[in-house]
Amino acid sequence: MNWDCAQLDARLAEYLEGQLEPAELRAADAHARACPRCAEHFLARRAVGLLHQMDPLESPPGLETRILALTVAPPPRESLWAMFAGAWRAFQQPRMALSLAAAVVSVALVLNAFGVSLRDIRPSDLSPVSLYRGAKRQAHLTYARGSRFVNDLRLVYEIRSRLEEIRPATEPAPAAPSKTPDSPAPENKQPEKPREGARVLWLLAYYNFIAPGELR
Amino acid sequence: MEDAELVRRCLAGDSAAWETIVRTHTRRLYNLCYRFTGQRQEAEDLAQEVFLRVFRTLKSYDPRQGSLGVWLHRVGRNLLIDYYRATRRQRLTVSLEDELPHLEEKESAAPPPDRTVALSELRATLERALTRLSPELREAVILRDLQGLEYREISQVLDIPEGTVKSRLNRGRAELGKALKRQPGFALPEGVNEG
Repeated sequence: MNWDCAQLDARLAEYLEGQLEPAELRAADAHARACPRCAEHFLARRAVGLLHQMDPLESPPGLETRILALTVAPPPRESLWAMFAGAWRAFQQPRMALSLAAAVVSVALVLNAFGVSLRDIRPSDLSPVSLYRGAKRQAHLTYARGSRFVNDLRLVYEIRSRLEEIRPATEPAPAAPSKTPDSPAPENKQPEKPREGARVLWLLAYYNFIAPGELR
Repeated sequence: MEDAELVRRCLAGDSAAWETIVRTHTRRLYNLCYRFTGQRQEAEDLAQEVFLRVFRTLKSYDPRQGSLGVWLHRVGRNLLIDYYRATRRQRLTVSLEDELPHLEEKESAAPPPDRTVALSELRATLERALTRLSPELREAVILRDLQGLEYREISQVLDIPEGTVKSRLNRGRAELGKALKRQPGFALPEGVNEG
């Protein structure tokens, strides 16, 4: 079998990759060696043969591990059940159980302080209706208590401001306590007590809580 | 397991599936990068970068455009071209120094006494010649003759028609042949690559 340039060109890829039949390959080689135009194909075939013989390198140690460390897979989507199971596992831990017990004790203490006895609670108290009624009653009581407190405060402030207005007329001697300058301060305060009492009596009279004649 | 299924599992958060992809393809991607750059450290960094990029863009994988291996090669090839452009200036200054010892070698090279020595020298010459090919010829030769991809796969990786793949291969192989011709030991390994 003799090959010419056209034949070799037509099947060049197969020739270069050594995919021809042995007899064809011999004929093609013979032509390529002899033909100056096809000499470069012969050299190229040698090059390809050598490339095919090159073994792939092993990947460097640690490369895969480093890639995996750098590319953390996206976090898995948890189902509701898995979330519940995770929470349950957390509850089973001693630390969690201890904190839970501590929380129960403190809630009981707080309730006790507010006059709620856990022992007196009956199942019927926990029904929504009674819970609602209790809460409503409690809210009203709290509101009433609050408004009474605010009213009392208002009264006290009013009394004080009236007192400031009339003070010069009723108390002409503010320097009265400083009779003995070297006496200690606590003793100084003592004589003021009756005056406070007089002021209160006067105020009660002013607001007609008592008859003005009783001031004497 | 099918590539599409593997990727679907990865996206669903299955880290074992991602590990399978990494362990299956790391060596091939490292070889691609090494053959293109001719430097182990660069190849290692680039291969790592390929997987980081693939991991970030896993959602965009389309099995109709080729296997996972083809996609990884395409990402790797794009990175290599970026690398080639980025280091072009550096290479121009280095290549002259690189050339000098090579010339000396040629002058002092006596015919190698041993066939295996000659063969290893031929291979070294070939590897050097490969890293000096123009990038478009180099990538075609590497993908076909070293990575063993099909013509169709190469055309997918490079995004060029199969005819262009073949002509680039012919040109690249011819260039490599010329580099071998200059090698004194070339005449010796007669018959080592008949297959």
